[in-house]
Amino acid sequence: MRVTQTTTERGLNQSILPMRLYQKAKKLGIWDPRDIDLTQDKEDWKGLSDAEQQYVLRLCSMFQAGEEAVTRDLLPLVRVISLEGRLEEEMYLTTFLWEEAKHTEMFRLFLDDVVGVKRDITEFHGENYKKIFYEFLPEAMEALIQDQSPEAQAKASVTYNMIVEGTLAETGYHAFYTSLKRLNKMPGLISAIDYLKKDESRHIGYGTYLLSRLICENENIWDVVNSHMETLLPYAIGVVNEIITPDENMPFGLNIDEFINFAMKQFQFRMDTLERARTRNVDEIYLISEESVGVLR
Amino acid sequence: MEVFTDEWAKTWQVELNKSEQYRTSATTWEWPLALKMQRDPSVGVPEDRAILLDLYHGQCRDARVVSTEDLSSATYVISADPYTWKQIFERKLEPISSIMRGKLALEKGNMSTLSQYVMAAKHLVECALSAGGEMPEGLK
Ligand SMILES: [Fe+2]
Ligand SMILES: [Fe+2]
Repeated sequence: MRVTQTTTERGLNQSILPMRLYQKAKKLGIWDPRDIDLTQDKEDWKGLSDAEQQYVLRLCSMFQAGEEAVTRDLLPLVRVISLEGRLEEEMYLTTFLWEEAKHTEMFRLFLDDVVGVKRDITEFHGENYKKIFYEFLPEAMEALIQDQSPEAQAKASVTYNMIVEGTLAETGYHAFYTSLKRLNKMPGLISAIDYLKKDESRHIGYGTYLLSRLICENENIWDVVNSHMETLLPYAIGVVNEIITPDENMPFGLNIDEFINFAMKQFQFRMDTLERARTRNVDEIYLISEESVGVLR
Repeated sequence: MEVFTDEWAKTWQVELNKSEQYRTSATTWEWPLALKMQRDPSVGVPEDRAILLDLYHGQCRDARVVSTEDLSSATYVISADPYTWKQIFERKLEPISSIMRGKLALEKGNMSTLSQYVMAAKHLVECALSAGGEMPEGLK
């Protein structure tokens, strides 16, 4: 029979990280894509060179499909967490999914209003991109429908939170910042990216918490995390290379080495944080600070 | 046969030239690669040890022990302490992650170029694992 947590003495545990993220999300995650002023962006877009426009369009195409994918693929994880009776985590995840929906909305708004693109822009997805977003991500998330084991959860979170969000999306924001923001172009889009980045820092923070919890509850999960990471890394690094396409002349004076270094730093930070979980106990993981998992204010 | 010896390098070369997966993932790779095991007298490695693989378009044309002075002829040098190499050869550390995390240090060479050959690097290490090889006495 059902036990209702919030009518028992358990109530809601406000101190655990997911609950703190939930409180943050209610304040920071409520921005409306429709409130973003894209007037200047429309002007700036016309002033970009062909190569610059191509670059921005490619990034947007990758983000658009990426945000759609993470919106569609999160649900099985929410269900697993719900089945485990982790109400506080489930409450946080409701904000997570809603935010992904808004990210999907945001990029389409930009494509419609600023770029005015009517044609199919799926062509910008390279081989590595397709491998991650069309295969690994949906497969790892859908696997949770049949298999709720810690191993399956770890693979799902490694794919979703560490690779897609933690490494690729972060490098993608960097791509916008190092091109448009440095030149003070497209202020509307850049302010949207600022919001996205904050939202994502909570998503990745939750993923780091989830994996840390799984690692410290189950002895074999650190190995599962490492081996799945190793499977995905060649494709993830491939996607970073697809963002910057080294064979073309790089627009905006971009530097390839800077991107690879940035992606590596992201990866190092995430792995170091996860590795620390091996020596912690679960109670410490519950109380982990926002800062230590990279959550932005 | 101990790792980072001439015999081991030559066995690795044979494995590389047998590997279809290595060949097809490295068709445009054309730079000599050296691997270095840093000295650690406490585990019986009193000097740095290095081997050089002459890798060219999916083939390993030569493999041999080189002195640390000869490392200048390598375009890429990847280096780690004996214990890290041991973990790699015993499959306790994942090679690509280890490069990304700096546990296997890229001492020389361009990371962006290397990043376009991740699959080749993966198969390269696979071949080293099939070549076998023992760790220095102090690490067994
Ligand atoms: Fe998102
Ligand atoms: Fe996200």
